[in-house]
Amino acid sequence: MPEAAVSRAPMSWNKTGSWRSSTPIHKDILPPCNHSCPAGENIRGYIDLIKKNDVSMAFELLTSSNPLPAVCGRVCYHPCQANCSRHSFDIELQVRLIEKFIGDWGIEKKIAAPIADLISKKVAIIGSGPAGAAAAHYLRRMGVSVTIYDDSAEPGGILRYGIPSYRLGRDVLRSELERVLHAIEFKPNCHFGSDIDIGNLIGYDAVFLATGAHISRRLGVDGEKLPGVESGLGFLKRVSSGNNEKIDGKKVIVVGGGNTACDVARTAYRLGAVVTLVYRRTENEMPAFSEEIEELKREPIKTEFLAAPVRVEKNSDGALKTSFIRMKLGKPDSSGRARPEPVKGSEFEIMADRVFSAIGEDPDLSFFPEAEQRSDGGFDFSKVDKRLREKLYIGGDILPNPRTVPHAVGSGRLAAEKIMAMFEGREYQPSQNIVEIAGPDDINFIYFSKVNELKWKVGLAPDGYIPDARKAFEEAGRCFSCGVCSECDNCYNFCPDMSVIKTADGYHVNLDYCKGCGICAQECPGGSIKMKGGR
Amino acid sequence: MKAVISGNDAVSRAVKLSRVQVISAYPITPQTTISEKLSEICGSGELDAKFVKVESEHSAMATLIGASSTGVRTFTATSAQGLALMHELLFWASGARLPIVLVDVNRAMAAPWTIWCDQTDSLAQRDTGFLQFYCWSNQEILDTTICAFKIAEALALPCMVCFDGFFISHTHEVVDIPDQTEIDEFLPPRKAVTKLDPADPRTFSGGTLPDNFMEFRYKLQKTFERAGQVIDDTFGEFEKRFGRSYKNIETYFIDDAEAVLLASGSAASTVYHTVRKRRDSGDKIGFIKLRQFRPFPETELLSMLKPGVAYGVLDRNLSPGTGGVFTQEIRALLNRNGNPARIGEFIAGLGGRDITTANVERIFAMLKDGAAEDSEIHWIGLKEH
Repeated sequence: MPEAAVSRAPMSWNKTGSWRSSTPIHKDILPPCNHSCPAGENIRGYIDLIKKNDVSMAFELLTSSNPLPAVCGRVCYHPCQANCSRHSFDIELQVRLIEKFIGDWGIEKKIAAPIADLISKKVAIIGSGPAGAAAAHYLRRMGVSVTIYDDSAEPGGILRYGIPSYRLGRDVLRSELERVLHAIEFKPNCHFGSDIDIGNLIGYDAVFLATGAHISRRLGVDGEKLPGVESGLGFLKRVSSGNNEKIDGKKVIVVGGGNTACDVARTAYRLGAVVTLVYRRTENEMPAFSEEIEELKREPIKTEFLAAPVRVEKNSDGALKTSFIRMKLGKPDSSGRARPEPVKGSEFEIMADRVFSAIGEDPDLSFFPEAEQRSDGGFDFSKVDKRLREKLYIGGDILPNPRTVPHAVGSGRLAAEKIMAMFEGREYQPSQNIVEIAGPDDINFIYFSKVNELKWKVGLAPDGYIPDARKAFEEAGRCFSCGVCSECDNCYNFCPDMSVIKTADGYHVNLDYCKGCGICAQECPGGSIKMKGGR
Repeated sequence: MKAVISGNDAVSRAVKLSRVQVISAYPITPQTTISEKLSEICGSGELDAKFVKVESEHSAMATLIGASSTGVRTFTATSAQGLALMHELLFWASGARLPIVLVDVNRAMAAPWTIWCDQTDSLAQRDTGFLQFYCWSNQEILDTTICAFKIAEALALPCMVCFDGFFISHTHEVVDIPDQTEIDEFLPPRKAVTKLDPADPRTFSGGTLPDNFMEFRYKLQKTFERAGQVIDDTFGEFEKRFGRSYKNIETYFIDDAEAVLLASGSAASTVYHTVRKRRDSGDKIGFIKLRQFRPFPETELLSMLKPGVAYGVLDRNLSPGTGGVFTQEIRALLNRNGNPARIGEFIAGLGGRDITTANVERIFAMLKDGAAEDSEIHWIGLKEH
């Protein structure tokens, strides 16, 4: 016998897994960024690829759910950031920086959107905004022949004619749309209802309607039809079309608190106007994105909160005398925000040359008089001409979704998927079944270090940051990879029973020897291992 | 080369000279400056060793068990609670026959909280299968630590080198530091019989059933029984090469002594100093320095302890309910062998209390008054309580 118990026989006969009272489950759960993305991006996935220095694969993954990353990197409000688990640690990951970097990379490398050989299906898309463009892109990827009809001269819809160029540079927009729509027929200056009608659409195998919401709500006060009292969105469209608005030095009032109101106010200011933005609630209730409000406040634009217009009159000198009444906040309304209530006898006047209404927009569905608006804000198309009804799909701002670019993109991709399912004669199945969403509680913060918040934050405007590969890589490195295995090897290294096995297709637990100690779950930085009671 | 260095520094120099390959330690007073110095010289490259930072002494010993299994030379240092935290792994080190060298800078066991010296911490590990040495000077620390590697590797046993916290660890003395080449000749690289090697896989210390376990323990005991000779030979070779002599027990003025006190560690110096001084005035007293505790130098002690002399053991430790550990060991030894010599038991210096020459003189006076004949525990320097 040797001095010490050293043997050539293994200990594998001793299946310690039989002592186990809880079992590690290695299962990816949904990261909060992915969950919150209206466009359905796999954000964690492309950030992981950036971490691995594979921009090409990151671009491919990102554009597999959003064909417009350069646009969204600039204009998306990035709910992924608001839901980022790093909120509970230091500061949310600046996803917009990474998305913009990937998008700009695609433009710079002139990556043409992938297309498939044509199948014998044709789809007409009405509207070339983010929803129409996304639907066109994904259908063409599947080999569908696509024709886009748009009432404007250039594609882009709200991106081209609504969002001001200081927020979304036209070169970027044009380049990205060219990249995405390169094999798609675009018919400009075709207004549905006048230039084309249902008859033009009957021959298509499917029709996707994404005409947006272009009609500014009227102020609903006396004098709202006076010359100079106008739609804010119409003003933005004219400016974007190159029209000279001649408001240099003029007094302009913008009524509203949403993104359109902010865009109108900031655009008018850039054209030399003296701008006052009037909103009936306070800054806290403004529906505009918080970054846009922050940037509006940095500009010399006067804000008048808790005031609503009551009438507009024209003075003899042509100036518009706009009367407002003070409001106070009452009980919450159906939207959950405090309902503004007028304060008696508090009227005041502001003199102006132009008054822009930006209190909300509605879709123009005059071409479908049968479409009735439902209580949820959406429309019922069941009474539309039955030759079209069965193959009509709806997207973008006509839907009762929040009216944002990523929601529109998401609706476009969804429509493309539904149309393909219809073509293939199968039931459409949503791809993502949400079982569990990862959050800060799943993260082992010990594995991460904090950053200096002030140096890190990135603004919404494109000129707020410079596309910088180094910064994007650095930022990607901060991702917790919530709920998804990042192949860090911690479970493999820490397992005291050597029960975590690493193979080409990931990690597996050898339950013959796993005693259920839970160290793998504890040391998993991103929470993709969970302990379940029992064997 | 001679240098004025602390006891702890003597350890780190010995570790460097011994070309240790893996060090793992967790800081604890009064040991900390050893591991600090070692981490520095590992970091600077002065010593080509891996210093593994760990979160506890338990992990430090576990790390060394793994490292030592691969055949490399390993070292750690600790004190008191840190040593106690290693307890279960000390058995593993000896059962796996790994020649890990551990320096314990003796510190009393809490509670109450204390950082000061007594020897209860290492003596409480007497059943773990570690060789144990107790040093009284910085030179002895340096020399014993170097020899500890040679002895441990020859026997495939772990070894503990102990000395008193602060009294020795933080006191500077002149130490003669051997040349590296001389040490390299004295202490060649470790040659392990079996190594953990992925190319030649084996199971180390795997599950052992009742039909085999007892034999491993028998072999362990047998190795301890022959360890005394290996230790003597090693220190003998050391003496030949370096001129400094170390015995498992060392005696002073015992031939005609009427009373003899046995002690270890820094208290031994005080006893030695007192005995020498009293001898000048014709007092027939002697002193035995206990240097080696495991294996216990039974033969030497038995031949030395005779009836008619009043022996006392100065224990700077306490095994509650029984008394001093050295006293127990010596009484058991005498009893087992029918030696009628009588031993008086003296507990002193717990938790860093000074053991003074006055204390030692008082013990000799008590021995002359028959303290060796009673079976009382005599508490020395105890205050009103």
